[in-house]
Amino acid sequence: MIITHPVLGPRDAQEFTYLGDASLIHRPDPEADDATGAFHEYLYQRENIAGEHRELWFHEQGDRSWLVVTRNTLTHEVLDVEFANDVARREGRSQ
Amino acid sequence: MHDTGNRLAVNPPLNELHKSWPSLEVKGLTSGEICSLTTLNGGVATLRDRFHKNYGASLPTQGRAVSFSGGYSFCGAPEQWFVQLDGENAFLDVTLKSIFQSNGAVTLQTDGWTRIAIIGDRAPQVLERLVAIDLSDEAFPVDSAARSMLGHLNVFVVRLANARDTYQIWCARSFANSLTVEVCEAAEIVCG
Amino acid sequence: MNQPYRINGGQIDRSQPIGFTFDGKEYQGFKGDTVASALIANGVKLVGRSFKYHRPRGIFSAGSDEPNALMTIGEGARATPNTRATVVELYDGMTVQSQNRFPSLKFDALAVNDLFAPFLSAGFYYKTFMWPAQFWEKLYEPMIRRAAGLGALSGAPDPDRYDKGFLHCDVLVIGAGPAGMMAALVAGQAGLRVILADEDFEMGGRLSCEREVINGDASLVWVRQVSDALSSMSNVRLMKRTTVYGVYDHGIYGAVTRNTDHLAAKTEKPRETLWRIYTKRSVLAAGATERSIAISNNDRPGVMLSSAVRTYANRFGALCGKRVVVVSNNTDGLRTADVVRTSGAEVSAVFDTRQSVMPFDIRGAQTVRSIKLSDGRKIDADCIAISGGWNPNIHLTCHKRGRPLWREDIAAFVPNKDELPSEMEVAGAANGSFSTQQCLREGAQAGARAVQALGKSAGAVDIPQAGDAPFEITPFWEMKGVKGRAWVDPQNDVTVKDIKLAAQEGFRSVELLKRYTTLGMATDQGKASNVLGLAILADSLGQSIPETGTTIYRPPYTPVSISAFAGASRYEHFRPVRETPSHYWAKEQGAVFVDAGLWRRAQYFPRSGETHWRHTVDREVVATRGSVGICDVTTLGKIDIQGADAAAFLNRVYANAMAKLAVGKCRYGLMLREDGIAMDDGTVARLSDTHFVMTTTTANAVGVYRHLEFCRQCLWPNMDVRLISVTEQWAQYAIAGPNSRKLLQKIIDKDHDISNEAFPYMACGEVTVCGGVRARLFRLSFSGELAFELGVPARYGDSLIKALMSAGEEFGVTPYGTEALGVMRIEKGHAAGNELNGQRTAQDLSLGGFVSKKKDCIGKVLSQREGLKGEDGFRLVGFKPVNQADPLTAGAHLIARGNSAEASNDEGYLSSVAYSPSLRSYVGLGFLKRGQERIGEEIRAVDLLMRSDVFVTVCSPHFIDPEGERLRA
Repeated sequence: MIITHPVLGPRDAQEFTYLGDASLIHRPDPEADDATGAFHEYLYQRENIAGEHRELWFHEQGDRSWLVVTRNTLTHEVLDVEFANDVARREGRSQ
Repeated sequence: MHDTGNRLAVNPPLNELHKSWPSLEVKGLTSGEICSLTTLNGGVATLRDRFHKNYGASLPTQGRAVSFSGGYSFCGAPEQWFVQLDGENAFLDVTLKSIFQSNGAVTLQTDGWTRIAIIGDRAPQVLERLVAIDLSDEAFPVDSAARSMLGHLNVFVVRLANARDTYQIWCARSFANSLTVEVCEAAEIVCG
Repeated sequence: MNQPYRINGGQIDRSQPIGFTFDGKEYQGFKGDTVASALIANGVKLVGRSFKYHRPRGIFSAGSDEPNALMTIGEGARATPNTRATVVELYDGMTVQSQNRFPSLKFDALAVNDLFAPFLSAGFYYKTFMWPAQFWEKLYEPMIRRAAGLGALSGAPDPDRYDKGFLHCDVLVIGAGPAGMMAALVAGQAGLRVILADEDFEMGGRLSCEREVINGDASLVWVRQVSDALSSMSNVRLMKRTTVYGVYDHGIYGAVTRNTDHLAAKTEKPRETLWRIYTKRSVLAAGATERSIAISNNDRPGVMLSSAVRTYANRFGALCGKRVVVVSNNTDGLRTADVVRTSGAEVSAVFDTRQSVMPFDIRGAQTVRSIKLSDGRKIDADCIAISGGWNPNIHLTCHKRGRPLWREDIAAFVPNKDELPSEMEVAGAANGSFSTQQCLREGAQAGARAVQALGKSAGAVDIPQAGDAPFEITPFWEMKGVKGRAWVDPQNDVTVKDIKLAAQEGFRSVELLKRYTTLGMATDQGKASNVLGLAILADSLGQSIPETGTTIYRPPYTPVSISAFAGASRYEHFRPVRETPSHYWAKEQGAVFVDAGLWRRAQYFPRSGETHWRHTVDREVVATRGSVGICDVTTLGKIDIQGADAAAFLNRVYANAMAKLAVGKCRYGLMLREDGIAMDDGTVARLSDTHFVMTTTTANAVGVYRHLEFCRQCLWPNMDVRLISVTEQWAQYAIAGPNSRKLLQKIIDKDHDISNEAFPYMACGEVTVCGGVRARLFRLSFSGELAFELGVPARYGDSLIKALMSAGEEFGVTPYGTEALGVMRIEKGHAAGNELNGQRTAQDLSLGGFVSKKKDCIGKVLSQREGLKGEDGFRLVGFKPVNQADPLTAGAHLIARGNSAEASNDEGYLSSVAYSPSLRSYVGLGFLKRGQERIGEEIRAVDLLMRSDVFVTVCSPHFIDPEGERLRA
């Protein structure tokens, strides 16, 4: 499998480790009322998508950047690869 | 590297490694000091500016390397560089920190790495047995640096303009022996 | 007479004769022969015995699809079984052995199996050999295994070297026949990086085997011209003897090159090279494989594929028979008659099944002798050349789950254009286009399309003129009307009867047919049999072939040796090794080493006279606690953390408070997973307001770093903090024991005061040693003694250990390894990997108070969940045997006195155990429900695996210096 790194170009998937759904970026607010429930959802509940899936990969053997990869779970086609850092900022993560 | 007056002797990895085959040389690189440099405080512009003032070269972009008088630098990750300066200075990180101050995080890295140079016309053929990324002239011209895998080892590959047929392989220091074995085995197969 | 079936012509080199043996008998061949062609030239018909029935078998084909002629080539450690004689290049002195026969090929005792055929039909082992049940394992199965089978391994280690490589190209062309050569030429001339691979040792594909004409000349002239042109292009890489065996995702292909199998002298060169090829486009020009027809007794030696008879004559100058019967359902198969005649042999009969033909039975046992027609007439024959049509070699188009399509006009499966790997084109016979002209044209077009897809332009290409006769076929699968078994899969001994039986018994889907009959499951992966078997199934079900379906193909196309996958990763090079800075010094001291992940760590340092590791380890512990000991702790992960938000960052990743740690101080830290379970522990040292160094356990260094980068990049992207690993940069030694300070005062330069007042417990700082050498000192103790950790840049690691040992001589300094390290931390009650096992929480570790109530951290919320906060929860406590002499075992479960040893009474377990020389008994750490309330209780420690059941007393886990006085000395 090839993941095309946004700067470094195509790299073999062997250079990466997989974490899981990109929703892991959105860590719930620990101060919220139903924090326990929210964290439970965050850790254990997933949409098992047949189709385009956004997921987190760590370029462990490369530049150590976290990436959000959009991959079709049926065809295995990789449609998009972005720096997770950029995605996190864009989607509202800050401090 | 040699003892500078203190009572502890220095033991660089692969000090004595130097092997030759037709059109190929493999040797350990032991000179110079290396530091890591990354941006702090959003100050990448300041970082670039100060680097240029001190070394007369621009900090390279990710995947690129640059040589200057007295050393070279390459960028392995977004806003993360390695800087190699000639000469011996186990406090180099302190020196660099004083240049970049709150805009740069610096660590000494010289001792963390084993460095091997693969030199010669057949270097690309040897590398083809070892490293999965494309290291052809088109994909990996001079002044390139890439981090990937060599067998089971994590390595940097660096190619500078002033030595176009030299490919430096950097690997964590503790793997020195394993790196040597892998590289020499491939050299033997290709050139032996 | 030497080589009685040798004729003129062919691509063999008669100036280089070769001697070889087959089953001990000497024969001669020529350079350019395969083992099969040389045997045929020598008139050898019988080459093997079939898998199940041990029927005599001969050479069937001329390619890698060969099902029968499986040989063991070579001797001793290099003896390689199950090698197809049809692809082995002959070399001088080669030893060839047939397989699966005893005592000999001619007189195989197990041929008696054939008499039991009615009991050995499809799925026989589900219907027979059932009673008595115990006999299966003891008698029947071993018997069946010995009776059936292929070759045997030598049992010796593989003496050859194997290699791997990674190639990158723009266009990968698979197959160097007319289509492939054209595609490579077009792409090469456009300046692209091209790889052209072929499993054969000659280029040209079927052009080497037929008498085709290209541009008015023998086709081999064209082949040579194009080969030369391709060789001269520096951007084209020709890879002969290279099988592209698999298609993977995103343009990744697996290939293997056989480097030395054709050489008599085995050199140091790797026998095989396994390649991973990364390509942007590919052209599959893999040709087609002929299939046979099911005819009564069609497995006899001398029954062959029609095209194979032509190949042996045209390419190898070898005659398959002197009285040949030709059977064909298509125009191509009939060509063999002409080739036979012009070779000087006789065509006994021609059966063109497109018109009605009289069915016949094939007679002869160890060789074909005649055919017997259904009206009783006999026709002499020594070779039957059969063509049932051609199967395009579509296998690689299916590796990514593409399902082929049936084309009625050629009665074959072709690639489904809509289900190809996205980078792949198919050209030529692999695409169902069988004339040479079509192959040349399609190859050129496929090459041009690949060029265009990459944004370049293909120049004008001259397509040569060649034969373009249409291929006409009328499907004919089975010659009915004759009694007698007809074979479909020769290698697994599957007959038409088996297929019909399977359908009758309800195994009507093609997937079930395959698994029930084992049709297509042999080493040829059904190249000879899949389509024929499917057609016969369709026929017996009264269905069309498309309705009946097809099985899918998976890599590898042909078998790949396991050694090729291993490459150079064998024995001590199986995986890389990490050596600590004191490694060579420790080796010189005679240390015994242990693997800690990839690290080699000194486990203990035996002295002469010590006969058991306990002697050594006990001594190391006693000496360290009594005076001073030194241990290399470089392997623990060290992460450098800098930035204005470094303190805040640490506060969020550790359960306990870190932000207010003073400069010049260290603190123990516990890290949780987000689900509230303890993940790792370590220490944090603050070197300045914005500069920290954290340590992790050796085992978790990589995982913790990955986790921290996830937090930094994804969770809190605006925090001003940077992490970099410095594990390797700093050699680090633990110096522990009451004399540790005195020893260090001899090493650390005088301008650094390390008295207890100036450098108290948990202090840290930058110092210099040995006259200005840069160093870092941390007053940390894993052992529970007065202790320090001293770090220097790893270049000084070797000389520092020697300097420390020299300075410590007056104190009787003792080097200690991981065993003593482990004993001491257990005596002190420190948690380590056994306790941080992925199931235990901070509370279980009796560190519940560590989780700060004042701040968030990773894992904080879920650490508070109901399920983890029970009153009945585990607590980490200590255990001592009631009977001082009793040994303890880690993993023993805790059962209250009076309760039976059952899971329902399980109250916890021992996680770490060691013999404590300090207490002169075993001690243990473990988890016990409400442990802290049960100090003093006597409880059973039951270990059913190690058969141990002893009473232990629950106590504090701090067996040594519970008040911490030694630490603070």
